[in-house]
Amino acid sequence: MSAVDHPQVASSFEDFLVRIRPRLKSLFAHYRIPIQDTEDLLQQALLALVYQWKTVRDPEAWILGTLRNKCLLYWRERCRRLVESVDTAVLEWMAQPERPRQENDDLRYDLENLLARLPPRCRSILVLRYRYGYDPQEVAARLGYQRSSISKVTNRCLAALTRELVASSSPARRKKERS
Amino acid sequence: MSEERGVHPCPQSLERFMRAEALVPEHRQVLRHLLSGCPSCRQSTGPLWAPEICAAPTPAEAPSEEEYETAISRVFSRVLMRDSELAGERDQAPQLLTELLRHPVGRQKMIVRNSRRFRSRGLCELLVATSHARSSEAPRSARQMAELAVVIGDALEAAEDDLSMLEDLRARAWGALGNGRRITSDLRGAEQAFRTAEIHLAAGTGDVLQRARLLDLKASLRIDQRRHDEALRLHDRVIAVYRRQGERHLLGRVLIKKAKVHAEAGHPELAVELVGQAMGLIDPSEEPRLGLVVRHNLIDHLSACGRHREAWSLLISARHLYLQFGDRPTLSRLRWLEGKIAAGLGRLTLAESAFQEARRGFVEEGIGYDAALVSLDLAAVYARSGDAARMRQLASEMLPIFQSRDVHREAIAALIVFQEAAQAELASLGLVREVASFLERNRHSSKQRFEPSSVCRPAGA
Repeated sequence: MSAVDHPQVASSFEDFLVRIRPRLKSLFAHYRIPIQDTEDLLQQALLALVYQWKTVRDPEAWILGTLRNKCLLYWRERCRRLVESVDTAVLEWMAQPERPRQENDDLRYDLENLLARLPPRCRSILVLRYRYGYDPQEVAARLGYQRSSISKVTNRCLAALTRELVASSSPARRKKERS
Repeated sequence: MSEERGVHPCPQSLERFMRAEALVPEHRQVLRHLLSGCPSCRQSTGPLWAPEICAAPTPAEAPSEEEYETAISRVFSRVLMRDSELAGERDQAPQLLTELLRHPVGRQKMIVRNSRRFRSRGLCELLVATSHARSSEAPRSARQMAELAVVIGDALEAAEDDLSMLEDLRARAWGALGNGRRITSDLRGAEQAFRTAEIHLAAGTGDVLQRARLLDLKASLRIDQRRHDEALRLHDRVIAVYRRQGERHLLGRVLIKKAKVHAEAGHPELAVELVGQAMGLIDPSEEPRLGLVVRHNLIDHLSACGRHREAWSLLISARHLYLQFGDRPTLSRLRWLEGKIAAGLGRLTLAESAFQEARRGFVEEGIGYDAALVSLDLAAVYARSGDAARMRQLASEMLPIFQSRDVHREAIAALIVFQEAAQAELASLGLVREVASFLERNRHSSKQRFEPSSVCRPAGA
C-alpha cells in the first residue's frame, strides 16, 4: 500500500460508517442486543473490517453478515447458559430430600407435567436424569444410545425442556418434535 | 418454595432470568414459578427465547433508539482512531520492507526479532500479501516472505481488544507459510503450518472469509498431495461461504480452481461446466489477469474434452486479451494452447511451430517446468508423425536445460527415461503422454517416483 492511496481508504471508511449507521441501528434493535454488548460486538466486527478493509470486496454485506452472525451466536450463548442454569437448579432440587412434603410433591408434579409435554425420546432421557440421577453415559447404556452422541442428544433435550418451560411452542413445532 | 410457585416475578426479573444474569436466589424463584406453567409469565419470557427472539415485541428493558445511537457513536470514534493508527503503520510498511530486504536472508529474521521498529502489523500484512503475489513466479522468495511474516506475527503484541484480530493475522501469516512450503515441495512442512494457522484462526474473530481463504490454500495442498476428493470437499466448503457472503468474484476464483482439480482427475467435461459458471462471476476490473485465466482454462479444458473446434473459435475471440498483457510468459502460454488445439485437429505442422515457439519462450524466461511440459507435447507431435530423428534431437537438448533450472529431481528422472527411450528410438506416444501426465501431476511435489507402465516401458528400462 502506498502513502498516496491511504487517505482515500480512510475517507472511504468514514463514508462507509456514515452510510451503514442506520442499518446497524436497526440490526441491533432487531436482535435486541443490550447496549454494553452492542458496543462489544460492533467494535470487534468493525476492527476486524478495518484490518482487512482492502481485501473485503463488499464491506456493507460483510459487516451486516458478520454482525448478524455475532448476534445469533450471542443469543445462542445466552440460551446455552440459560439451559445449563435450569438443568443445574433442577438437579439440585431433586437432590434435596429434606424439603417439606407438600413442596416436594408440588415440585415433582410440576416437573412431571413439564416432562409430559416433551417428545417421548426426551422424556425418557430426562426422567432417568432427574428422577433416578443417571449421568449421560448411564442413560446411553440404558436406552441404547451411542456413548459418543449422548451428550449432544441430552443437550437437545435440555434445550427442549427449557423452551417448553419459558415459551409455548406452536402445535406444528410440537408435532414435528414428536415425530 | 410453594409460595414462590404462585408469586409472579416482575418483568425485569423475568428478563434477567432469560438473559442468565439473575443471581441464584432470583433464578430459583423465577424457575420455580415458571415450572408451575404460568401462562402469563410464559407469554413474557417466550419472546426472549432465541432464535424466535427476532420476531418478538419489545420487552421491558429493550434499549431505546437513542441509546443505540450513542453506543454506535462511541464505537465509531474508537474504531476511527485505530484506523488512523493502522494507516500510519501501513504507510511505513513498504519502506520497512525495502530496508529489511537489503540484508542477507539469514539476517532478516534476526533483525525482525531484535528490532521493535520492524514489529509492525502493517509490515506483517505486506509480507503476507507479497508472499501470495510471488507464489507463482518466485516460490522461494514467497516462502521467505511468509517466514518473515510469521516471525513478526508471533512477536507482535496487542491490546486485549485486538487480540482476536492479531490471531487472525497470525493465521494468515501461517497460511502464507503453508502455501510457501507447498510450492517449494515441502508438503509435510506445509501441513504443519496449516495446522498452526488453524489454531490461530480458532482463537481469532471467527471471520468466515478468513476461514474460507485458509481452506482454499489447504485445498491446494490436498491437490499436490493427490488427495483430490478432500480438495474438492474443501473447495465446496469455500464455495458455500463465498456464495453466502455474496463474494461473487472470489466464488468464481475458487470455481476455476475446482475445475482444475476435475481436469487433473481426468474429468475435463466437469471442468468445462465449472469454468463456464466462473465466467459469469469473475469481475475482470478487480483482477484483470483472472479474466484471461478463466478464458484460457476454459479453452484448455474444451481441448482436453476433444472439443477442439469450439476451443479454436474461443481462442480466436480471446487472443486480444493475451496481447493486452503482452508479457513473454503469457504469449508463450497462448502459443502452447494454440499448439495443443492444432495437434488435436491433426494439424501437426502448425502444432510443431507453436510448441517450438512456446518452448523457446519458457526456456528464455527460465520457466523450466512449463518448458519441459511443452517439450513433451512437441515430442508427442514427433511421435505421431514418426519423426524419430527430431525426437532424438529434442530429447538431447532437453536435459541440459532442465538440469540447470528449477525442475525437481523426480521430474528430471522421468525426463531421463524419456530421453533414453528417444535415443534408442523407442519413445512411443504412450510413454510421452505418461511422462507429461506425471510432470503435470507432480509440479510441486517431488515425493512420487516415475514408473512407466509395462505397455509404455521402453525395452531394457
